[in-house]
Amino acid sequence: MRRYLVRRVLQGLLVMWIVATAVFVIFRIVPGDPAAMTLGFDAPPEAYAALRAELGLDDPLVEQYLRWMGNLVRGDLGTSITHGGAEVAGLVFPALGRTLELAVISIVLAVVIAVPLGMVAAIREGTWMDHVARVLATLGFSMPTYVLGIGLLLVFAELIPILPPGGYVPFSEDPLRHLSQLVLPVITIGTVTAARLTRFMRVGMLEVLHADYVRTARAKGLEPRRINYRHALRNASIPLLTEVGVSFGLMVGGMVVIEQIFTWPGLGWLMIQSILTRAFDVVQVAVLVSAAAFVIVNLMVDLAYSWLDPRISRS
Amino acid sequence: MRVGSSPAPTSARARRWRALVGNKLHLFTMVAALGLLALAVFAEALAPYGATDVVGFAVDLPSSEFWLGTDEIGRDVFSRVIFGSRISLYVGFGATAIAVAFGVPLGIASGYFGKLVDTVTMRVTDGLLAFPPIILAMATVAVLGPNLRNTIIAIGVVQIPRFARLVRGVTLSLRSSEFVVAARALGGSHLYIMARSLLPNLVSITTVQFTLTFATAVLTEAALSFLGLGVQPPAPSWGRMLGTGKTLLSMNPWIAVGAGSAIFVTVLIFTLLGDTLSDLLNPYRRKR
Repeated sequence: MRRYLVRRVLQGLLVMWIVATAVFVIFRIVPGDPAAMTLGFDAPPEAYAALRAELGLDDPLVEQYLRWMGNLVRGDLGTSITHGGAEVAGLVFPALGRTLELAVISIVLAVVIAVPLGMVAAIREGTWMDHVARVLATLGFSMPTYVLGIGLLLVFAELIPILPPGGYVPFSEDPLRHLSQLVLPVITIGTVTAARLTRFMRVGMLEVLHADYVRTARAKGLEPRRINYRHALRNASIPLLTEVGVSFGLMVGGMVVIEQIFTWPGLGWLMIQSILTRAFDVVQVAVLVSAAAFVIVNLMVDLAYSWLDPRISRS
Repeated sequence: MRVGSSPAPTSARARRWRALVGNKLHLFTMVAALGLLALAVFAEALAPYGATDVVGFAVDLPSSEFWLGTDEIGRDVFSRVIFGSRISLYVGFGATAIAVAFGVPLGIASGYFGKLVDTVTMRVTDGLLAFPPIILAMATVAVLGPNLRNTIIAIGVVQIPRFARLVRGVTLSLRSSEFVVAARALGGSHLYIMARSLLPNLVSITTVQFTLTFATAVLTEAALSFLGLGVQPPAPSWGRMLGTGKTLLSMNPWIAVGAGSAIFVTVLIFTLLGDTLSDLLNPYRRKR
């Protein structure tokens, strides 16, 4: 187990190194360097040259790369010229916190919906309950979050205005308003994710319900309830956990559009604002952090997975 | 070929045809996909107005003249939704083609040669897969500049590692099968074996992945355009229309409803098409 743990952490670090390198490549080597992107393509050449020198873009690429990696290792994410020299970390991490808040609550809602729905669909395979669950799952699966988000906004903020159309007030300032602002984005992400998870839960449960040991348990005369919960649910929850992890990782990075719709100042929102205001020193760190969050979540899921099913770390 | 009454399985094609006609959902999916294609091809004939023609007052509600009302500068929303199918299908096809063109050879080479080639390819795809897809696409577009061509490139590049992974997995399982060993024993070159022995066996799985990636590409294009980083105005992109529709929600909600439904239906059709093709191309697939 310990060897597996060490190996997985090392692999995670390797992926992070590749990610950091990819960000460097995307923002340095492709046409339109950071100086041109910051100033715009029609900036006077003197200003462009001055900024290039200030950002160290005239140095050899290897030197720039080593500086970038060195700063990252030391945890120095730099300052932003477009934000008046503010620490980039001070902009990115609070935004990440707000994104995580949204993601965690949404994933809880998704699991609460998907587990019972997927279980019922599997236990009552082929009945109308199964069909309803499958239709709902397929519809939710094809429903883009931003379409659902705008739909909910239309109904609950425009036609029947009972909820705020978005915005963000810190919990410490006005708890009630904060919670009411969470409702629509959480329902949007939660239900779409629930559709994905329901499909997984159903297939996982079916797989287990047809396994030999469940048949044995039935033959022994165990109550169906006990079989479903003790034997089937437990084993079906292992693949579900992976899917929860994947969904969570996707959420942390992929909530850009939702945050834009509901003006929730998370990481995705910060990224868009920074792209539109040409704050590329912020964009590259935000991209890096969202990828890092994704890697860390996947690592945690892998470790939890091997803890639940020891066969994985042994193989 | 007579298909309906033949008793025993005659050929793979006949079996697929029967599977298609026999399953209402499969048939419906195919017809819907063809309908969508027809909508894009015959947009000029089907849409009442041009995509960029200003034909009425700004932000008018639906009427017999303008079925979904008009947008912020008085263009017909219904016509723009129809023309929007062109952009979505164009981006979907272009981006997926890029992903296949690079991902499939990469995956075959990685699975076939193994060792260093495999290690390097897989670690690089690990790194690329660590980015949430939309973020990587956004970063690429932000750097290259937002327009139709760059949108296609950005979405396509993001999907390359997914194809490479999938194809590598299947190649690995085929590498030591008898027909590959035989081809090698007969003196077939690496290129010959990859192109003539392995590639034909990857067609069905690539086809299924193609439709699913197509759906993802349509979604990503709409998301990028919604954020203002995709196709630029005045082109009728569904994502862009959804973005405008959001700001005009209280004045003409039908802009958002029209564009949103179009995205939803298109993605639904391609997701179902993936299931259908997967069933048709692989009759032994467990039906769950």
